[in-house]
Amino acid sequence: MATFKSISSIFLVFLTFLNVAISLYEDQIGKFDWKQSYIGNIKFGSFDSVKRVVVATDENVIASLHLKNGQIAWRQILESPHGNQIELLHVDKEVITVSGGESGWYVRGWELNLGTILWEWTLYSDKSLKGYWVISKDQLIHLVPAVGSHLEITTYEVRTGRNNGKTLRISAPWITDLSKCVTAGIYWTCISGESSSAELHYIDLSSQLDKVYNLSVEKLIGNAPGKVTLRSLQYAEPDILLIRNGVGRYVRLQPELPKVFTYGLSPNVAVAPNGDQTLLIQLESSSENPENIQIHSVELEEGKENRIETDYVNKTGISHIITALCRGSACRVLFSAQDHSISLLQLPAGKVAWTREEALSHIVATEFLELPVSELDASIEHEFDSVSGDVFGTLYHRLTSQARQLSVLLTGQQSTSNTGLVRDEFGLHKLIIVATNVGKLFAIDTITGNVVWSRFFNNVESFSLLNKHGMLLFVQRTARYSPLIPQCVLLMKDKITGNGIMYTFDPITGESLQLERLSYQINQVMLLPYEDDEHLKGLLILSGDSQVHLYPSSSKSILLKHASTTFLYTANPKQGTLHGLSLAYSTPENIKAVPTWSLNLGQAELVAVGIRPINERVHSQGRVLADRSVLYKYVNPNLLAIATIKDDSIHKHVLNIYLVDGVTGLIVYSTVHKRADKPVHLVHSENWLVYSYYNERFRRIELGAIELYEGSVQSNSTAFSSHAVSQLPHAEAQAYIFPGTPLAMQATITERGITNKHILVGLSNGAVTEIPWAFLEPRGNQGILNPEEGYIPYIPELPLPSEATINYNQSLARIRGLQVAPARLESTCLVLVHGLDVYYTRVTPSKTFDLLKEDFDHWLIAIVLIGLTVASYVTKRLASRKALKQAWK
Amino acid sequence: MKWLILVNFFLVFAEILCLEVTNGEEESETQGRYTIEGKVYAPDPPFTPANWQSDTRLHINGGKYLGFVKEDGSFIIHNVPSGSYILEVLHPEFTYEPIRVEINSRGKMRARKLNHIQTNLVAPVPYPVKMKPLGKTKYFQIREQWRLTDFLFNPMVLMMVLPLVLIMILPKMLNDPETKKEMEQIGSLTKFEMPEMSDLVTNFLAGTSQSQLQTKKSAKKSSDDSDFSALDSDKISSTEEIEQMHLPQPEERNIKKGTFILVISRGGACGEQPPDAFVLSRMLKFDGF
Amino acid sequence: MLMKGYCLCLLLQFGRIFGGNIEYDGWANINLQHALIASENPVFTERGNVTIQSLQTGLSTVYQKPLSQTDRVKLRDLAANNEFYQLKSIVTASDGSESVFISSVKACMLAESDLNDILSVSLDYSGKVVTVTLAVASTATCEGAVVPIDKLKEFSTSVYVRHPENGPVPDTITYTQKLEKQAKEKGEVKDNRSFLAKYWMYIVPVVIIMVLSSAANPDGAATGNNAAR
Repeated sequence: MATFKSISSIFLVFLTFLNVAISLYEDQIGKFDWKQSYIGNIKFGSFDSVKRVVVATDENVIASLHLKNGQIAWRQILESPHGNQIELLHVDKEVITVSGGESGWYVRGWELNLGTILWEWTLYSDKSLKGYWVISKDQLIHLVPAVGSHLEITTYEVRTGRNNGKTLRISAPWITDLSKCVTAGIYWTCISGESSSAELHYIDLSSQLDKVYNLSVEKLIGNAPGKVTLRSLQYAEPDILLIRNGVGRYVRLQPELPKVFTYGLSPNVAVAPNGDQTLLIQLESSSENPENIQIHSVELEEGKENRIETDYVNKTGISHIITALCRGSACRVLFSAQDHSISLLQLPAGKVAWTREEALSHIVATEFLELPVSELDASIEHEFDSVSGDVFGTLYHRLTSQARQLSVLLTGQQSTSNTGLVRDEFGLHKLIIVATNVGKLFAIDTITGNVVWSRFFNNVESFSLLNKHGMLLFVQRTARYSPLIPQCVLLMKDKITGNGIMYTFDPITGESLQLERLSYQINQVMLLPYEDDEHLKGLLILSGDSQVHLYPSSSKSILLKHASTTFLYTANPKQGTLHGLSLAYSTPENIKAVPTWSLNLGQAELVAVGIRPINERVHSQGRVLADRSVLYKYVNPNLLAIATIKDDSIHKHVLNIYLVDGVTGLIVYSTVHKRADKPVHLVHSENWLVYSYYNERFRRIELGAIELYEGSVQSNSTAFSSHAVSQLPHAEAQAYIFPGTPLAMQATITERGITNKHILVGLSNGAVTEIPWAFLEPRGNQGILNPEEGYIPYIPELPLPSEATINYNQSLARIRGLQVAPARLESTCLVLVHGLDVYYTRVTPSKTFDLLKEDFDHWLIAIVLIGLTVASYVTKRLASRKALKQAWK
Repeated sequence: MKWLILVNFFLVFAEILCLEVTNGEEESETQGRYTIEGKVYAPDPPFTPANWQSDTRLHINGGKYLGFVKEDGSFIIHNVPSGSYILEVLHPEFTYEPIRVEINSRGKMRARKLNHIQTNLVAPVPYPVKMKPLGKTKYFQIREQWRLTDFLFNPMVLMMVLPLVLIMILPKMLNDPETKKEMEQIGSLTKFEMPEMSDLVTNFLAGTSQSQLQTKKSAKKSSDDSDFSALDSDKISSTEEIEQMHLPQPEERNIKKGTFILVISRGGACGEQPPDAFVLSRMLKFDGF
Repeated sequence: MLMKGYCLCLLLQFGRIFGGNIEYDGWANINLQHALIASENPVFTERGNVTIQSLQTGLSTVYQKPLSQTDRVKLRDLAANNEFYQLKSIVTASDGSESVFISSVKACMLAESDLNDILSVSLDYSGKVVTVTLAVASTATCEGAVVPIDKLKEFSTSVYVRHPENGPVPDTITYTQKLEKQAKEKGEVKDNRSFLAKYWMYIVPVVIIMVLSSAANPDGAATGNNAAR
């Protein structure tokens, strides 16, 4: 008997492992996933040859893009962009970058064609201050100015970092404002003084001399009112642009007297050397009509002007020219727009060859949206719409609608208005609405990964949500209510005033419904769970001064009905306080949020808050134990999970996890990890919580799991109430070693919650791995596990098999977030991973149990059936023959 | 044993001391920045991807410090303060084992195997580190391939074959009055059928297992042969078989058909055509089947 | 009676939490004030005092005055109108620092429980009070209740000091021990184990078939024996 038991347990374990080993088949690559790689907002760009352009971005990334299609030829991701930025990009026979910040500077040389590193050295002295970098003949010159006093120039050998040990110190009391200083070729130049008395100072950095040239600006470009500003041209020759009143003058710096070119230029200009002549490419778009771009090219020596109109329609405001390259009459101009898109313009045709939407390199809000049903299906639904009880009216209605359906069927396809954005049978085709940090909103088709529509908002920024950027995106009405259009709302922050901006739109077409600039700052936002007559969910905004605002105002009456049972909470991450607010004291005139509970977490930093997904369903109410009793899950829809980190003199850092009831403020459970530090990621689902932290003592990442059970009696099976505290849940906790660095975590979600739960973890090595919840489930301290309960034996270090990587070899850079949504197929969960790259796929935690296998042999079953039929006929014949023979015998 | 405990205690103590020292150093000296050096080896030639250097990165503590691989595979990670770090080599197609690199406050380097479970177990590896690929990362499941045995063991195929067997043999056996009589005499047909079945099953399952095959073989062989022996009736080995022989004799041809099917199905299962089947099919042809 | 049973249950559950530990022991004094008229700007009146002598053991003394007649009427009305009973707790810690927490319960639940309430004082690992929450032990909520006024005499409050539990730690020791034991066992009983492990899938069907066949015709086996003889 004992052996039988052990065998069965082996079998069980085997089964579960089998279940775990879900991975793709090789022929499924790209079948339902797509990846888009981005580089970030462009800072510097330089053409390396006629084929490619090397760019450096504010994400601290360098990349080489194909001129033909804008695809990435190679990409190298440098240190984290927080505190590290690329300050110099020099493209010659090799690519040289200087990047870094306060922690030091990295000087690197890259191979032009493949992006392999050639050499690297660092500078981590006190020279990590803001400085200027210039490359001149294998010398890297680092210039550190001190405002109002002096500047220091140090020269290094560019490939090795060797310097002659000397630092040139030049007295420079004329440095007043570093924003008026630029580098130009081997010169460093500044403007000091105001309009009429303005002076230009410049130094030849390669000369190793402390000679400063001073010149009156008046002498160069004449006297006129207006402020003079300086612009560098990022060009090998020591050329600058002196701009006054929006008109630029091209100046070439030389010892003693600079050469000034007489014609006026637009400030938005790039220099394109073309054989022995030099072309200046200007990009102009008037402020009244920013949608049209005009290109002028001017020959530097002669001032001959050539004007080209482009067909590029730019809806995103003024573009910024980065670099240009000319070969004969053909030119390529690279420019970036305010929405962080990069485009390549071909001259003289004036055609835009390609555009890269670099806004997608920093996504701050995502939402999956179900598509509307097709017109045919919709008309079937309308068939039963008529409310009049009249028999003939109904008959007429049905006949006409059926005639219409028939005509749609006969004429073939759907009308063109829908353009294929139609709900499919399994709900796998959806639209992803994505808001980006720069303020551009996109709708992306999940099947193709193409952008369906986009819209850019100028001068907006994202909120800061627990040290992360975030915007708030809600679906107010889904596409389910056919004649009514679906509606989404996006909340952003005004860059100038800090007030909220509310944008309501139709997510399918991208049509704008309303753009409202609010007159207050946003503190908390809640999508009300109640629908009005038009199936629209109201939006409740709590402003900075604790006033409640409702949108649309028609949802007020519905809210008042439920006011006594509506609660919200606010968190102050800096002070570590939490407040619960009740709407019970609202009057029809005035909706009020009154504090009902408060939490003071001490001088701790709030690092993560986890709430259960609103659309999550818990299918199974409990777990069956070996003795056939049921352990009921504690499923509290109002439960908040809070993680705080507190600095401690003895334990360095202490991680606190609190599970708080959001209605009463009761701490249901709390746990403490000493010597545990950030980063903390938290996933809260069903009756469990998974969190990751860094164990400072053992220097490893660990994962904690907490599961809450009510016990063997279910307190209230019909309706849950936070007020009725009959018993506190009993918690099981267990910790695991995690052999990786998580950057984002999320639990899968499915339509009805029958499918197993998996935890998706985005790792620093670019993989997104899938861990079954069964691996993390706390087993308690029962010692010997009963095999009937189906627990997997505890292993302290979680296995991370490569087969569990959902994005196989498509490594994703700097994962920031994971978003999941259920498909209408119970087995399937849709996943969007975003960071520097965007990746979409679907996962099936319990395999596709509700679908026929892909490799299901239709032929075999058909052949066998036919074979059986044929065989039965043949045998019938044979049998009759046999019977005949028998009779003759 | 006592000695062991003592040593262990000492180790822990030393570690604490070391840690405290580094803590103190970290605060006082921010300049202590060191470099970690090593070499990454490419996968062996037939699998070496072109341009693998630019696709390979090194991460220290999940990307806090970065390393890039030069053309010859060497790398230098700059700007690393003293401490204990996990060094990983990232390549989308190949797996490398991560190691732990420790830099003490005086800049002395030590590399050791990464052991998350027993953190104070030191298994040193040479420094400068040599990172060798463990192999190609397996991301995919392998699709099942079509095999004859799978096909034959397919329930549907069995469904087609078995009824045929039953339809062809059984009625004839039962219809024959002589057989009926003999059956009653001897005992039962099941007795004949059962060992046959179990023989077959054990043979399928124990297919490769020689020992089992050996023990069963003689019996099986003789029972198979009995069919032929019915034809030339000169192979009589045991009393049991004499009695069995009585069954097929009057209806030679029919039995032949039946056994033919049986043998084929078994032959397929073993993955080879047994010589018996070959002989049989020839004979059948001769018979004008 | 039923209610009492649950109360006991709750008691037990709260009691479980004493397992946790805090680093420094200390005392705390909680001054309780309540508002008996529901309002967005409640006027708090004195309810009583709770002194926790030891945060470690959770030992506490509760001092609460019986409710006055007017307060009883107010509380009854509050319960009848299905409104919230608000409580303000001013916590004075052993280091002299003061912090204020608010909490609310449904007045009808409080009245129905005959003013049997629970005060949950949650601490963090250092012994600082994180929050003070008032709760009523019950399995269901009410939507307003009229309770005879003589039942609303005096609060009987149970105070629970709740500590955070020590976070779980990956259990590496038992695992390594298990591995070592397994390694040892492997050396000794290797053959026996591997035979079973290797051949069980062959043996089990054979045995089953044998058993089945012998069970199907027991006399067959007998005849076989006869034949052999």
